[in-house]
Amino acid sequence: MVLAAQLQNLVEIGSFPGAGTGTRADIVFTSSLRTRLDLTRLPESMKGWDNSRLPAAFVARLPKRLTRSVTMGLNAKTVEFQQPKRFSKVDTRDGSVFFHFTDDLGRNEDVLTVAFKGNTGDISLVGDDPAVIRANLARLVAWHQLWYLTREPQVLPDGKENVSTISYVSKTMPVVVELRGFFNRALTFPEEGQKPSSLDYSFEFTVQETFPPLDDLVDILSETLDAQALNQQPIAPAAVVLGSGIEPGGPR
Amino acid sequence: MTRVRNAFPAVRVFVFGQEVTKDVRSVTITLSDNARAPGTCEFVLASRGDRYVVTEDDIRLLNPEVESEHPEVLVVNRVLEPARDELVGPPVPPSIELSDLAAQSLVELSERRTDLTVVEQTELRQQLEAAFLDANPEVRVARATEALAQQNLEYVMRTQEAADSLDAIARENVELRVRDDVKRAILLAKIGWRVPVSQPAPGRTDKVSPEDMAHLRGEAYRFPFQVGDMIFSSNDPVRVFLRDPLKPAVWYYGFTGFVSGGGERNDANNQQLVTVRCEDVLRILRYARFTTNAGIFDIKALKQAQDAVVRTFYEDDFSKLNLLEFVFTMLFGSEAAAIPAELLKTTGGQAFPAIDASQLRVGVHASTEARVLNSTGAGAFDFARSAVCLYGNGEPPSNVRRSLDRINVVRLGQSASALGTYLAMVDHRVRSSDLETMFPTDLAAAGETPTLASALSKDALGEPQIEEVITAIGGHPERYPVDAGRLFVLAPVALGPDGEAATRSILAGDYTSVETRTTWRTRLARLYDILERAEFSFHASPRGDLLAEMPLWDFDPDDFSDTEITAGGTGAGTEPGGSSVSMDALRSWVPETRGPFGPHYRLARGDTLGWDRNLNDEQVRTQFVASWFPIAGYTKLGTGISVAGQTPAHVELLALIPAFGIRQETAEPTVYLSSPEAALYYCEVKLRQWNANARTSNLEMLPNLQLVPNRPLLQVERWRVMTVRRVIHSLVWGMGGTMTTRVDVNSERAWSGRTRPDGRRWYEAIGGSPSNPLDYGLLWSSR
Repeated sequence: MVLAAQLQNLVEIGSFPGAGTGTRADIVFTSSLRTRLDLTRLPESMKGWDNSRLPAAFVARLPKRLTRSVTMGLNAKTVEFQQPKRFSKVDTRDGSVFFHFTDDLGRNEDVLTVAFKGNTGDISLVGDDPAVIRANLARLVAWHQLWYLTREPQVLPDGKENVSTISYVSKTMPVVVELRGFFNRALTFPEEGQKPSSLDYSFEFTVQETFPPLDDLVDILSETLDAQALNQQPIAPAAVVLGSGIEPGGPR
Repeated sequence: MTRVRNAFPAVRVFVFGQEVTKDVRSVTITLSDNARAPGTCEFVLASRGDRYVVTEDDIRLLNPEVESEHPEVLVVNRVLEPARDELVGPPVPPSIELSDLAAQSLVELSERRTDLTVVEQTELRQQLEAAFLDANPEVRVARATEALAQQNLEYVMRTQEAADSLDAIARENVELRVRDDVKRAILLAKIGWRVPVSQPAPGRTDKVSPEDMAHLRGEAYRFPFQVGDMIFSSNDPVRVFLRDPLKPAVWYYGFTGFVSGGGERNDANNQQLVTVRCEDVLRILRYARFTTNAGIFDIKALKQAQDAVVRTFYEDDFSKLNLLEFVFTMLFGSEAAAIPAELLKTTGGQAFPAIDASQLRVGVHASTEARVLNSTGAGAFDFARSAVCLYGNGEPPSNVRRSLDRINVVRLGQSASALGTYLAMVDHRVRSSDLETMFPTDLAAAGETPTLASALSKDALGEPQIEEVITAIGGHPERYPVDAGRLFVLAPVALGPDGEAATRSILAGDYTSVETRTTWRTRLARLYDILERAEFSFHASPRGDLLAEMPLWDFDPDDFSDTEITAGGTGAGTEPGGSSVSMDALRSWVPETRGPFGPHYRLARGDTLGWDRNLNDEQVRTQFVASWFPIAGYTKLGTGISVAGQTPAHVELLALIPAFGIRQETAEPTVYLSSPEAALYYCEVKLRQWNANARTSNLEMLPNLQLVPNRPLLQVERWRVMTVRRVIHSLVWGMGGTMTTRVDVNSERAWSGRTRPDGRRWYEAIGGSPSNPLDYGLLWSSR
C-alpha cells in the first residue's frame, strides 16, 4: 500500500509532519474552483486544458488574486471531528425502541463534520517595524483567502460542483488525508476589543468523501507497526500538538 | 426497568428494474380490501441534479433534430412515415411488362434505320416513343406510377434511415452527455421503443378530414418525454421490499405494482423532491374490461382488441358460473379456466372475444417476449400456480364440485393448522425459493431458466443472501414480472347451494341480478360486485398475488397456528385436476418451513404506540328484518315481488333492547334469498356484523410487516379481536425518522368473561354472550 509505505518512510526518518520537531504541520485548503482557475490562467497556447477552463465572464467576477490554496499551521486552537449517529427513539406503551438507520454495512453514522477554531496571530498593521507589518499583512491576506474560500460558489457555470478539499494531517492522522466536501458555514469571527492585534475565528466543514478512506487508517497504521517490528526501530513519538493559541499562526 | 430494544429498518425500492433505494426519503404503503380500488404506495426521492426529472437539456439530447438546420423535415421524417397512398394516391400495380415490351420494340424499330446517324437515331426513337405513348396512354400512366413508386420507396427508405440515424444519435447523446447513472440507464432503456400511431401531421392547424388522418400513419415513442416529466412512466413496474426492523435478517415484499403518477417539489433552497405514486396489481383489473394488461407493451395487440374493449356489451354474463368459476374467469379468461362453453352463454347472445396477444416485458436491464396471452383474462397471472383453498370438513356442493377438476384445489380441512397452511401458501416473506417459484411458467416453457439461488452469495448458514434475491427479483421485472402473480381463493368448503340445504341457497350460483348491462364495467368493479355479495375480501398481497378470501371475522390468532408450517405435516392436501391428494404439489407452494403466523396477529402492549377506539351508538341495531324471494333475478322484477302472505324473516337482540331500545334495520340483500330460513340466517349474520362495526378503531404499532387486510388482530392489552381492513406501513428515513404500522379495523369482538372448554377466551360482538357470535359459517351452515 503506497500510503503505508509513505508512512513507513516517515517513521524511518523520524520525521512526521510537524511531529515534535518544532515545525508545524500544514493543513492545506483548496477547492476545485481554485484548481481550475489556475488552469484557466494558463497561456492560450497551452491546449488540452480547454475542458477545465472557466468562462471568462464568470472569472471576471471573481477576485483576481485568488491563490491556488490556503495553508494553515496546526496551531488552530481546536479541530473537532463530529459524526453523530442516525437513530431515533420511539416510545411504546411499554418500553422504547431505537430505530437505527443503517447503510449497506449496517452502520448508522451520519455525515462527518470537522470544526476548526483558531486565532489569526498578530495581524496588526500598526507599528514601527515594516518587516513585522509586512508579515502581519501577509497573515491577514491569507486569512482573507480562507474567508473567501468558505464563501466560494457551490456550483460552477458548467454545472460541475466546486468541491472543497482539506489536506489534513495530525497526530491521529500522520499521513495526509484529503477531506472532500464543503464548508457548511462561512468563516465566523468576532471583532473583539480585548484582542486588538488578532482575531479568533471558526468554521466548519462537511466531509462527503475522504482519501484514503478513514476506514483504511487502521490498516495503514497497523502495517506500519508490523514493518517496524521487523526493522526493530523505535517509532518516533507522534507528538503533533495542537497549538495553544498563544503562538502566532493561523492561515498563511 | 423499561424494555429497550433496537430496530434496524431498511427499504429497497425498484422502479423499471432500476434500484433507487439510496435516494428514498420516505415510503408509505397502504393495503386495503374494502376500498374497491388498488392498494397504493408512495415514495419520495431526493432528486439531486434533476436525477428523476427530464430537463430541457435531456429533451435536446433525445431529439437531435432540434439542432438540425431543417428540423421540420427531420421531425416529419422521424415521427410520421407517410403512407405511399398519400404521395401517389391509391396504389396501382405498375405495368412493368407492358412498359418493357414497348421500349424494346421502339429500340428495335429505330435501329433498323441504318442510314441515320446515332444522334438522328436517338431523335427518331424519342419521336416514335412519344407517338407510341400518345397512342397508348395506359403505358404512360404505368410509367408515371412506376416512377412515383420508386420515388416513394426511396423516400420511405430515407425516412427509416433518418429515424434510425436520429435514434442512434440520441442514444449516443445520452450515453456521453447524461452524467447521472440512474437517469442515463433509464433513458437508454426507453429510447427506441416505438408504437404505431395514426394522427395528423405535426404543425397542421387546418381542419383535417378523416381521410387525411387515415393516411397519416407512423411511429411514435412508446415512452414519450416532455420537459418536466418524471423519467418513470405510467405502468412502469415497481417493487418495494421492507426489512423487519426487529429481525434484520428477515425481508418482506412491501409492495408490488405499477407507477401510476407522481410529482415534484422544488423549494426555495433548490431542493428537489420527486414523489412517485403507485398502484398494486389490482390496477390491471381497474382498467381492464375484456382486454389485456393495462400495462401491456404490445400496442398492436391492444389495438386489435379495441373492438372487444369498447364495443362488446354483455348482458347477464357469467350468469351460470359459480363464485370460483367467476373469479378465475375474470383473471384468466374462460379458456384458461376451462369453463364449459354452455356455461358461458350470455343472455345477450354474444360469445367471449378470443384475442391473443403477446406481451413484451421491459426493464432497465433487458426485455423479454412473453407468451401469447389469453386476452379474455387480465394481466399475466399464473393459472398453474393458482389455487382454491377450501376450509372446513365435508364435501363441497355439486355446482362447486364441477370446478374442482379444472382448478388446483387445496383442502385445508379444519385442523388447528388449516389456516396457517393457507398463510404459508400466500406468505409474502422473501425467500430464496422465490427465484424459482416466481419465475413465469411461460418463460420456463420457452427454455429460459430462472436465476439460480446457487449462483448467489451465501450467508453464514449456507443460504443465499436474501438481499441478492431481492436484487434479482426487483432488478429484473422482465424475468420476474409484477403482474405474473397467483390467484388464491380461500372459501368455505360449503360454498354454494346444494339443493336440499336451504340455508346455503342464500348465495346461489346465479348472478343474474348483478348489474352487468353497462357500457363500461371494469373487471375490478365486477369482482367486487360479486365478492361483496358473499362478504368476501379481495386484495393484492404485497408479493403481487391476488387474494379472494372469505371473511375471517370469527377467527382468532390461535386459528392461524403458533407452530411452523411444513408442506408434509399440515394435514392439508391438494387436488390438482381432481386427482388424489398430492403433497408434492403442496410443496410447490410451501417449499420450505414457514411461519408461525399466529404470533404476528397478537399485539402486545410493548409493541403498541397508541390507539383510538370509539363506540358509535347510532350504529347499534337490535332488530333486523329481511324478505326472501321466490324468484331469482329479483332486482329485475323489483323487490316488491313476494309470496302472498309472506312474513319477512326477523331477528332481535333482546338483551340489547333495554340499553338501546328497538332499533330496526331492514336488510336489502344483494343476494338471492330463496327461503325463510335463508333470510333468517342472513339477518343473524348482518345484525352481528352491523353491531360489530359500531365500534371503530385504529391502532399504531411498531412495524408488523406480516399484517395484511382480512386478518384478525388481538389487542392483548384490551382483550379484543378485530379484523384488519387497512394497513399503512410508513417509513421516514434518516435522523429523526421512524417506521410504524397503522391499521384500521372493524368487526370488533371483545371479551365479556366467557371462556371455551380449553381455557381460551371467547370474543363476542357488542352485547356479549346473549348476542351470539359473529359467525360467517352461518351463511353456509358449515360450522
